[in-house]
Amino acid sequence: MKKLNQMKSLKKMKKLAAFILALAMTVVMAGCGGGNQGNDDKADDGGKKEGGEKKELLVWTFLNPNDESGRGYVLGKAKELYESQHEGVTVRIESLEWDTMTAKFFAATQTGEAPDVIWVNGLNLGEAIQLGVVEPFENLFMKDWTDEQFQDLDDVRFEYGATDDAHYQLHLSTNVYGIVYRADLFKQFEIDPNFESWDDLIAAAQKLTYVNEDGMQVYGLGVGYSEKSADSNYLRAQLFTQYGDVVDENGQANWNGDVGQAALQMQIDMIDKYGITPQSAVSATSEEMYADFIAGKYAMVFGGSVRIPTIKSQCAYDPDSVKLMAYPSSNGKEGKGLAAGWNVCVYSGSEMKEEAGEFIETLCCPEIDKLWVEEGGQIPLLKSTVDACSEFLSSPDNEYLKTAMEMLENNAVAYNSEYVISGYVTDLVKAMQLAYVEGKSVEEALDTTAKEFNERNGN
Amino acid sequence: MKKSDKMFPYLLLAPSALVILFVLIAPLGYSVYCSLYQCTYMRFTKFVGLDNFIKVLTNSDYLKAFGRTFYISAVSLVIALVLAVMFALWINKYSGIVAYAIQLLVLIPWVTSQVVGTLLWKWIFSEDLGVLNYLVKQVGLAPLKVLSDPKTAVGVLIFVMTWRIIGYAMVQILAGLKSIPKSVEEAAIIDGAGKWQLLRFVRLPMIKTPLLISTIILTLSNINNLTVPLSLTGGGPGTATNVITISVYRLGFENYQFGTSSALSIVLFVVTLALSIGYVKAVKYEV
Amino acid sequence: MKSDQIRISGGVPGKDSGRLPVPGNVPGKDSGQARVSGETLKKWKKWLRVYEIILFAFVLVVNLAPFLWGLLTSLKPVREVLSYPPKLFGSQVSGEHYAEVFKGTFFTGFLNSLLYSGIAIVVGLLLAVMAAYAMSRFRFHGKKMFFILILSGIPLSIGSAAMVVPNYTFFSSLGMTNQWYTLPIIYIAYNLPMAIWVIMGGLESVPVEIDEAAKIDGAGNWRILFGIVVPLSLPSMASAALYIFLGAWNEYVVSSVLVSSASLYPIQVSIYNYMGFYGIQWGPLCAAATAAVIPTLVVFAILGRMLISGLTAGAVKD
Repeated sequence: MKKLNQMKSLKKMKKLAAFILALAMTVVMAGCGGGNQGNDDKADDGGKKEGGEKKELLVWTFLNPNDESGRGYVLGKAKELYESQHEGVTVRIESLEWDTMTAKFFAATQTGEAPDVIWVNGLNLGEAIQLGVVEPFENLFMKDWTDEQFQDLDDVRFEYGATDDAHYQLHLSTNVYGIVYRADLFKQFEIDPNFESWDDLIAAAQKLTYVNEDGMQVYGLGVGYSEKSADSNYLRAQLFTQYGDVVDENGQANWNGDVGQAALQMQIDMIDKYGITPQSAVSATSEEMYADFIAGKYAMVFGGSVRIPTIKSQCAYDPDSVKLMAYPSSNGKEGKGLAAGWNVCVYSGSEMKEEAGEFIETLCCPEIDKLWVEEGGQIPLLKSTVDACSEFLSSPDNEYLKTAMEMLENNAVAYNSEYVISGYVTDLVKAMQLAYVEGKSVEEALDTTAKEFNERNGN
Repeated sequence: MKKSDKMFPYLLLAPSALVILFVLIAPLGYSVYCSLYQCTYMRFTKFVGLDNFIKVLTNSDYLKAFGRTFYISAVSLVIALVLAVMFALWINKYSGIVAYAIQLLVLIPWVTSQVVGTLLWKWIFSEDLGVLNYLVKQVGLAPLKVLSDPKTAVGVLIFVMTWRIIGYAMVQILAGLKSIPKSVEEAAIIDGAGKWQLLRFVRLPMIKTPLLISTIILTLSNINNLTVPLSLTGGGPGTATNVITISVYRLGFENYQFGTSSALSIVLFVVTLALSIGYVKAVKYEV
Repeated sequence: MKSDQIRISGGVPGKDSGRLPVPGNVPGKDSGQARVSGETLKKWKKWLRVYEIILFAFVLVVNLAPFLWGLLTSLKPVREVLSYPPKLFGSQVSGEHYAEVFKGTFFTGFLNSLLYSGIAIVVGLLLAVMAAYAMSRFRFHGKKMFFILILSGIPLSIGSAAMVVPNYTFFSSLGMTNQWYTLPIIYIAYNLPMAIWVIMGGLESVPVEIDEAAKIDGAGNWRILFGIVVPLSLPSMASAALYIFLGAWNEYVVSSVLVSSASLYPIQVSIYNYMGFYGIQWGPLCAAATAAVIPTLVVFAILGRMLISGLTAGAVKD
């Protein structure tokens, strides 16, 4: 009897599920049909706009153009400048959450809602190029550029995703990775920051691991290994130093070789053997690492230049003591770090590609570049800006910018962007989690994540 | 007249049903559609049938993540419900402004921004700089390992998830308790019911609906919670707190594999729906 | 916890409104044990009371710890926010973070969210009370199906973050993203299933005899619903309204993806602004989060009072 009932209700449920699904599918089909129509409508709208009033250039970024200072402020200024030079075009800047923006952009290219200008994270540029959603600048404003103009902009950042005859992006908010350190503590312990090798750095970090006058345990070298938001670490530094990239010439993960194994072992030793990194680093995000550095817990951290202004504005110790240095050299190779950042691109499906290109041209014109430096605390895009801002750059407050510029010239690498590399940062820290927390061997941990990376990205 | 009467319930239900179908079920249908394709970067490159589901259901990492999710959610739910009933019974004894103020305070965790609340807990628990270990050190004890140890990290995650939901359960249950007519309780006491009997035979049955609603809401809320585990532990250390929503998140937002992530989220949906139906059946809730 | 209590009560509270759900023969043996001498009991009770209060104070502190820490942080000068050793109070009470928050997008987000949740509450309640009335008072073909539909809406809305990108694509291809109505519709739909259910529970404690009497008096279906049933089920509607409000006020992931104009962003997005790409600004973040809690407490103070007093006064008549 009971069973019968159950059977009956099961049948009913099945019927019901089938019905709901069928209904849903109908709506979806209708939706997809409507979607295509939607695209056409939008195209029509565009046409109308051209005929009638002002055209609107849509920009997706994570900066807020209404900010009263900083990068957002500069973006707002660029908008003003552009609009004053392009009558008939208004720039609409929408600031999105940075961590979901790229996924949203990729989805929006399918539905006709994608913006004309998009900020693409350095990690995702390779994908964007492969998907064909970004337009080479050579088809737009750069076709008229002179050699001088190219040379003024040309450095490692400009090479992101570039081929011989195609540049896809303008690199903003450049973040040069290295070691962020406290010069006051170095002075106190009489340590010379010009390390010859990682051994020197580790020896210094051991000295700098002490209990300070507030009773706080200070550690020599800070890092965050949480998979939530991982960033730089020794393993990544070694990959860039030794290989200049995170994939080999076939697009396969390069961290499961000798270099990776030695580096991962070293990361473990930094906690267990040298004691310069606290064990709590396995649960710390890069965000918390910076917060801890501000609180005074670390003498050095694996950090990026872009964070230094925030650290300076929030720390309780002397802000001028926060400095940046390049990674020490190892195995006879000069230490190399990533020059990360955001790539401003033109959406290839945009109906206003020319205008979009011109907006990007505005973003890197001398006038705005000066503002990027002086208001946005950014490394100059143009070599000519260095002179224009010489006074600003020579003030002790901005010493870190000078260091970052030097590092950009001598120690920085860019992703090759020929291959998809998304998720590699998480893979690197996952290897650390597997080896340090889950007790896997260093080889196995690296092999596991390298395999996952290769399968996922299918290079 | 009679015919319009017959149509009346459908008329009443139509707007709600349309809204639910259009905003909730239809996108689900779209997710089902995605899950049948290789859909990286939301591009439908290849029809793969049920391959995504097979891939997801045969992946031991995801199965383990499901296991962890249920364990963590269930423990947190049980603790929350038991404590919520206890506190609701306790506050129920009091009336007036104090009881009311307490209710307001208890509800705060549920209404605070989840991510900010979680990050503040993480800050408090921070092993070297947090308030907790600072106090521990002041007392003269060795600082505790909190989030860097896989075992305690699970405990802390359960703690924060429980912290978030307990106020909601309590307010629901308290509302239920207050709605029990005084006369019913008095009658039971006159009949010689002791405290426990009053609770078991009068009060608990009478708050069945709020209990059921809280149980369903909080079960689903725990199982589907991404914010708390992601902000608190990010799934670590190791894989100790890697719950299923983190896997879905990574597949979608870090790897852009929307076919697989849709498949996984549909599996998650089916499981949670089955659970809700199970609860409703278990208490013989009648429609 | 489940099966036996159900057998005793026989249903949802109020369903058998007139009857007492108390079992006729409550065994009396335990109550005898409880009656020790009056003296010890009094002492016990006194101690229990103290113990209770201490325990509860402790729980309350734990419960509020992050909120308080956030509140205190929001009042510290910027250079003292992260400093060690942790202090409860900064060297001075500083309003700088609140000033910054109110200068920014917070106010727009606040007003937007107020508007969105207002619309969601009004429309949501209207739809929910109609649906709940149909579900609890009528027998009709396909009723179970509607119930499953409503039930399946709950995990879909709670788990919506997992499917946010397909959802975005779906709504975007319909041209429904980034419109003034996008978020109200989303908030209505996400909270509707639960609201229906809550009101269904409430309607069960409104005796059917009342509608029947009205019907005999010649009142039409709609009049019975809005003239008689709705006023009697205000408490459960308050509860549903509270649920809708909290859902609408606190939703973040879906809102942040479905709209992209600063003028349309809800409050949670303006809180997230302080966790940007360049790091967390703890001071303004805590200030914004603290300020965002206040309206929810106000709404709870209004609706919550109605919820409880209403339930006590209006529910089961005997």
